Order: sequence, then C-alpha cells, then structure tokens
Amino acid sequence: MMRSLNPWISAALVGAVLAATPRSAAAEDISGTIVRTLVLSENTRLVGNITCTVAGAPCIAFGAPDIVLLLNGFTITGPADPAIGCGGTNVGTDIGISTNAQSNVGIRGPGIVQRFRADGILFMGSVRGWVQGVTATTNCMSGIRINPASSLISVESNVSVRNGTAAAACGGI
Amino acid sequence: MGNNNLVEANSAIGNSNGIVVFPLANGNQVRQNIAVGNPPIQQSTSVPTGGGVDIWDQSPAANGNTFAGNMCISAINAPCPAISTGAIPRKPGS
Repeated sequence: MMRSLNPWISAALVGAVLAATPRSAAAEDISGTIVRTLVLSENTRLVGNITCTVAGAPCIAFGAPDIVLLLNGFTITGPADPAIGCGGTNVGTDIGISTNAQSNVGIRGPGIVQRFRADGILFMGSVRGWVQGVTATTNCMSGIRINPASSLISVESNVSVRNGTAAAACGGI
Repeated sequence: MGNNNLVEANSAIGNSNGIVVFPLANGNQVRQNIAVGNPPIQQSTSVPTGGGVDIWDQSPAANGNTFAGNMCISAINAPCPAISTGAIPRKPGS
C-alpha cells in the first residue's frame, strides 16, 4: 500500500528538484546590421546575414558563460575592404566574435566570418570553449585565434582562408 | 594560442601563416589539419620578406605542444609529411 507524502514535504521536494535542475538558456534570433557591440547573454542563432559597422570593438561578444552562437549557414561581414579583404592593414580591436573571457562558450557553423580588421574569431581569456564548422576568411589578423590566457579550447573542422597580413605573424589559426 | 587546446581537422589555406603556436603556449595538440598554400603566392611575390609558413611552432620544445598527422608543405619546428612531387599516372576510369 502506498503512502501519500505530506503536502509540505512534497512541495519542498519539488522545489529542491527545480532548484537543482540547470536552466537551459533561452534562444535569441539575430540578423541585419550591427552598429555597436552585440553582447550575447543567451543561446543565439543567426536567421539572416549580418553586416557589422562597429569600429574599435568586437562586433559580437559573449556576455555569459555556457551559451552557444549558431551561425546557421549565414555570414557575418565586417567593415574591411570588400574588394581586397583587409587591404593590408589591421586594427587590433575590430574583432568579429570575441568570447570576452566567458567560459564554456561555443560557436557552431556552418557559416562565414569575414572582413574584420582584426581576428575573425578570438578566444580571449576563456577556459573551455569550442568553434566548429566555421569558415573564416579575409580577416586582417587570424581567422581563428586563441589568446595566451585561454585554455581547453577545441578548434575543429573549420576552414580558414586568406586571413592575415604580411606584417603580422598570424594567419589561419 | 594558449594552453591545453586542441586544433583538429581544420583547413588553413592562403593565409599569411597557416597554423601558428605562439611562444608561451604549452600542452596544445595540433593534429589532422590541412595547411597548404600559406602564404598565398600573391603575398610571396609582392612581399618577399614577409615570410610565412604552413605550420609554425614558435614555442620551445619543452612546452610539450604536439603535431600529428597534419598535411603541410612548409613548417618551422613542426613535421610535414614527405609528399612526392612526381606525377602519379592514373588509369582512365580508375
């Protein structure tokens, strides 16, 4: 014979279970033109191409840990020269996507990150993270770069083409 | 590149350098990548002093960065496989 639990105990158990269950981040859809740094605070998905006119700062920066940016087959384009890519000069702050010291964040393709005057994708001060299936092209520094303060990053199955300049010892990855 | 990262199964083509491991990096694994045509021929001819290679390990050997199974033509402090430059005759239809 089953005994029913005291309603107060039941409520307390349910509350404890809910509190212990990790919340899955909500999702946001983005597309269009970005004029100032877009800070991601939840899982985010491109639903169209993005043109970025941000100068002196990243176009997209992670603002929370444990979230993912899905490129969803679309392109993120920076302000560098459309005809010749970066035009031979780089601006170190004009990054396409920065992990911005957030941990356990990911960027998933397919999709293209192109024409940024610095790195296309920069893992900056992040512990754990990944980028997968992305094409990075015609960025003036590296297509994908892991800075010295980042660790346990996985860079897998990406394509990096025509990034970097002769003056900088960076390039594809 | 920082520490204890994995760079696997990527293609790096026509960049000023293909894959670069920076001097302070340690414990990274670079494996099964294709890095060829770095730097691109336009850069090689227009900026001949610019340098650039397919894979460049700038760190000391004691840092324990490893390279395995990568396809490359030029490298500094990293192995590239010996690739025959001779033509390989193929039988039509094979």
